[in-house]
Amino acid sequence: MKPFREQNYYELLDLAPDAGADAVAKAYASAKRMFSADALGSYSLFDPAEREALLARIDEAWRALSDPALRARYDEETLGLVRAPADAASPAQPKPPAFSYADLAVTDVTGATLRARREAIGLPLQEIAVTTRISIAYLQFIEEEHMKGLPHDAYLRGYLTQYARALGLDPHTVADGYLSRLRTLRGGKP
Amino acid sequence: MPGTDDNGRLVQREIWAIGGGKGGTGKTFLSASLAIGLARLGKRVIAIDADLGCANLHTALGAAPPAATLSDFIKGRVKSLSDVLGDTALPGLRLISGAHDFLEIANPKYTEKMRLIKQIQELDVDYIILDLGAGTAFNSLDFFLAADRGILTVIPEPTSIENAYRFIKSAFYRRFKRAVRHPDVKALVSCAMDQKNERGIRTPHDLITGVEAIDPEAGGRLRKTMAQFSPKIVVNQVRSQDDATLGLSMRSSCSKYFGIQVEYLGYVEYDDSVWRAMKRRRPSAVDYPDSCSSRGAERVLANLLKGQQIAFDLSVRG
Repeated sequence: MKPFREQNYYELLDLAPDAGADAVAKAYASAKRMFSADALGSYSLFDPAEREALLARIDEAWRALSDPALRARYDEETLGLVRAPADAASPAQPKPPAFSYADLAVTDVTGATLRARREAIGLPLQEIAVTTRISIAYLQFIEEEHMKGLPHDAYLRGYLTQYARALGLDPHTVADGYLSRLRTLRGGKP
Repeated sequence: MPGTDDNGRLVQREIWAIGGGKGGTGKTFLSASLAIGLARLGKRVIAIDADLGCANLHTALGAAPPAATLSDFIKGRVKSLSDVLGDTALPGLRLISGAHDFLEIANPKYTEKMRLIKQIQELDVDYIILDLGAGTAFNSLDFFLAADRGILTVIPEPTSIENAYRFIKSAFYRRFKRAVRHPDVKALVSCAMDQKNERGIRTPHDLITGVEAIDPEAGGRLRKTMAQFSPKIVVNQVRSQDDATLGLSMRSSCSKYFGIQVEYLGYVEYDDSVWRAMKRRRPSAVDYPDSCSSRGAERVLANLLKGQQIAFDLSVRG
């Protein structure tokens, strides 16, 4: 084992070198959360400069591993791994999700982007209402950013988390992003 | 630690130490639960209250205040550690109570402590459970380092996390200091223990690099020492999914910061049974065997026995 400055991209994200694209995205979201300044699990261990350097390395790892071409080059040049090209002879790959788990930044989250994501995978609100047991009215209010109609933030966070899961989005990103946007819209600080 | 019994047969004698820096994180609860769990599996177990000065493992095991304690051994009033062994209500489980009479016993001399550790290692049993005191006093560190497996209990609170990391750092430096001889290297290790040191040594890795510059061989030894150090983590008083995944982020943090492999053994859910049992001075593992906390402690024990970590699906992370 080596400390983060010497770890390769897979070690940085706690991933096996054969991890699939979705696992890479989840690991990135999870690493960003684990090493954010207010995270409990890394509390007191890193000073601010170290933490910043670590997060920069994690971003670097994500940029390289989330792009198939860059990843293949990194695997070959740095790790000496050569992958068999995915050709027609290999068993059918499961259909990739319409978008990746981690390609949504906190600042991207708005009612409109959430609706766009939902429509992109053709998931009707009705269906989310059934699986999450959240009333369709609340789901609409979320997408419309209908301030008066939304419940208290404490309940809203729970709804957002479930809504995000139904869409295959990172629940933390969606809840944090949406609530932060609401604060801005209300005229407070983001 | 393997040894031989009186008939020259090889015996697998394992010492497990339970520490963790902060008080109130469940060290005594986990020690009692592991000891009881092992005894139920038919193992011969001795639980030792190594919290010199603030001993209370006997209470957690539902045993009477002991007639003889570790202090009788440390002060030389009895010759052998087996003279202070007491029975518990559970077959197979015996107890060595901690000293709680003299203030000075809380800080035994180094030679006294080494004599104690040596005799602990020679006890004729299958498992020895060491319940350590809070804090990062040399006592706790030395017992932790002498054990075959060192387990840290943490609870999902910043103070507990902070103290656990401080404990790991202190254990490192304690071990390093004992592994090196060169006076300049010793001085460097002492300097590194001061977090605000002027040489800019922040992590054990910085220290090893510094030591290698003075004495490459000592540096190599430290590197080996570091690679062998693998503390185990149990998260106690878990109330949510995020609490349960705390062990995963601590494991990742330790890998990033120290470059060491910490094992996450499992978590114990918060419930009232521990507190209710404690009020009656009874072991919760005996009175509430089906409680969430007792089952959590059993999962930890199972993982320890199998030498594996918690099986965790990251995708359930909420």
